Amino acid sequence: MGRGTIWLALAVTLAALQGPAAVAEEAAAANPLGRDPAAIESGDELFHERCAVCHGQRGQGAMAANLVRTRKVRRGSEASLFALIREGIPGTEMPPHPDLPKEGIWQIVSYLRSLALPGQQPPLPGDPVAGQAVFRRAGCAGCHVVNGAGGFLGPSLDSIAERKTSGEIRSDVLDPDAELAAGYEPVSLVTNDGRRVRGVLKNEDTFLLIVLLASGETQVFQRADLRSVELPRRSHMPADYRDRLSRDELRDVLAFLDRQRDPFVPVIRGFAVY
Amino acid sequence: MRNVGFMTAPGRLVALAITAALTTAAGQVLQERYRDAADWLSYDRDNTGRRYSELAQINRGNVHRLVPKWMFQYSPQQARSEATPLVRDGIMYLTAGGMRAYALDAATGRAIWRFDYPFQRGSEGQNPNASRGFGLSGNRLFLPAPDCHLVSLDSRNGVMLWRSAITADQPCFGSTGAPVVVKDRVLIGIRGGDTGRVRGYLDAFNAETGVREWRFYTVPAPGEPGSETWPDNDSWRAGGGATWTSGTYDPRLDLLYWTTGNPGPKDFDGRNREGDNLYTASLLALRPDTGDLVWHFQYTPHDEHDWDSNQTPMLVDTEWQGEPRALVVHPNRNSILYVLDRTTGAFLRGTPFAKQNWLDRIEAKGRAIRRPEATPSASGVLVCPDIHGGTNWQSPSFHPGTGLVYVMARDACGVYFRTGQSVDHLETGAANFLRAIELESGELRWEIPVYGIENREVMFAGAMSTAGGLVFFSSRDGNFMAADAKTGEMLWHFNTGGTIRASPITFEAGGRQYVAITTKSGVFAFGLFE
Repeated sequence: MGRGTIWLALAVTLAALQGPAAVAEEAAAANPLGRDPAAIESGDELFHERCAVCHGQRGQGAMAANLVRTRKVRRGSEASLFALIREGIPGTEMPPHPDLPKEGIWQIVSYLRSLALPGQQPPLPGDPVAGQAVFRRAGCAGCHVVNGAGGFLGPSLDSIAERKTSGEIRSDVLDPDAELAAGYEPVSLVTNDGRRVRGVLKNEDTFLLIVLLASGETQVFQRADLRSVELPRRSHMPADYRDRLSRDELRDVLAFLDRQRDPFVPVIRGFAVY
Repeated sequence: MRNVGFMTAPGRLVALAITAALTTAAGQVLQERYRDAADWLSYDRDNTGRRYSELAQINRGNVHRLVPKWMFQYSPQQARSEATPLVRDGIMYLTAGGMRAYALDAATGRAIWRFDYPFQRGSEGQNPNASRGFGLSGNRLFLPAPDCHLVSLDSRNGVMLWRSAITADQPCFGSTGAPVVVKDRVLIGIRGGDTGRVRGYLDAFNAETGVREWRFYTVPAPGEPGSETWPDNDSWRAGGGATWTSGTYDPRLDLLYWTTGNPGPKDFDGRNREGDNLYTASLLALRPDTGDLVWHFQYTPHDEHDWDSNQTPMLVDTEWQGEPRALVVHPNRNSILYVLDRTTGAFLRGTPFAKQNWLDRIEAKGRAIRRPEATPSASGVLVCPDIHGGTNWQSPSFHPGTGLVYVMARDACGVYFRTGQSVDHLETGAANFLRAIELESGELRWEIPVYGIENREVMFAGAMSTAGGLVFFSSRDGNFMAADAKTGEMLWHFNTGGTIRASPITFEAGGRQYVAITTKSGVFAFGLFE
């Protein structure tokens, strides 16, 4: 889509939002369901049935707009979102939904709001200062850098809350094997002369593997020189922080990570993704 | 003419004379010129789709001495390039998407002229980076511009000679395939079948004047033959069947072979278009003079998995079960390698060449029967291949010496939802290979796994084989490689350092053979170290 088209689409959206505002006022000024988890779940189901065909399974956009990144969805008033869903956008393929009950529309609004981008969510409860101490005590800094201090075998957590939602950060902490960060995947090699090597895989192609060792040394291995290559798909990070940390400690460390919102995010890629 | 059984020998001579008289001099010269292995004159070199060259200066014995001879870098930089350059008489003609083009000295890479198309970003879906190269006839080059015009340039100075609208009455999404020149016509297809707003067609323009001479719609209108495979509603108007790659041509049978894409829209939900949806996901055999359909073969009836059939239909003459036979060999996105009779379209064999779990069976006449469990559902079904297919538009190759078909193949599964989404290989894992399949038996002879980032991405890098006993291929992460065409032994590789999503060529300039590949940043040309 060209830039001009985006502006045109935006203009059409704005125009449409102004029109049916009266409908929204009629309904309610703000979403009565808020961020109620049950409402979000029902909204998810309705969205799946009615909206996902054009907007994608998780609102990431397909034939129609990406709703995760759309400014109107993130920051526009909930009343205007309500009106948009009920009235549609005239002149576009976004249809009106006169058959949806009021509650259903609000459920969809709740769901859309839950898709907020990283860095856009309200701060998590907890004590970030205490969380920083937990971060050090629990050994996190052994592998992860925050503010220039920490290890190198895991990805930097600077600005992590700009890149991931609080839900994603929480699941990374509690279930580190679920999604391995590119460039930090553990690898075990056995060379043809029997040497065993463990480290993280920084890059690979048809002929070679580049491995960062715990010593900090980076080594390049030709596949022809290797007897075996194993990717255990298991993070070096302990998977039992749920047991290691008390409830309060976990809350505080998540609050500490949640405050890492410096908008200056240097992009470091483990793999060269062209 | 040995397979034209319905004509007597004197009849054949008369037919030949008439054909010769009706064919323009330029057309004849062009067909003749494909025989000069020094040149690379069409997308696949010679309109047979085999991407095979008789050049053998670079061969198994010396390929280890292959070194970069020159590199040409696009300026300004391109977001990507999928172009196959053409080479004639020591000059290379290179496109940079549909916006920019160059003529280069093929021995040194120095530019001779540069063409800039005054493209204004207009409607949606026009990708200025998605053009796969020129068509060439005489002193004319043909390039589809992103604003849905076919443009003709003078090959001597890059000056525009004519510009004709391809799309007039439908939304414009551009053309990705390189134009194909047959006799004195330029053939160009369109993209956009996934949008649900396009009824596919193939256009033929007069190479001299730029006047459109015929159009073949790949989705019939109500009442036309094939329309019985669409329901009694308006779905045919946006039925897809886009023609977004290059076709092939058999001058002896005077048949043009063109493939079509999936039915539209790509929503994994065909309930609004019950039926086979002809002529989507098919191969069409057309008369190049009129656009008349002679036969068709549908690979994936009523496709609901985005399995376009827009892969190269290779024309191969070989012994088939003891008899010489003219074949079409087609590695399809649905993971099946098809062999058809080129004269009649009769199905001869279909064998899987990549991971698949959708096929129940292929009936005697070639109709593929899908397992009911492979139909996309509201809750999602796991089907192999995923939407990117067992292969895609990247070129396959056929080597007449080894009898092997080389396919860049991909083993991957995806979860298909009726709601229009699919989870692709990113979550289910994928593996890419160069596979060598014996045409005679359909069996896998060898494969070379391609590791690295491409296991997480889709690969669009094709293959080329040569009389030097080599097959050249690439990986998305920039390795350009050569293997023994017979055994699959890896003989040479070079890291170009940028994405490759194009297929290789070879040519001769100044008496020396070169092998070239387009990367994101330009063209790398390799020759033997001296």
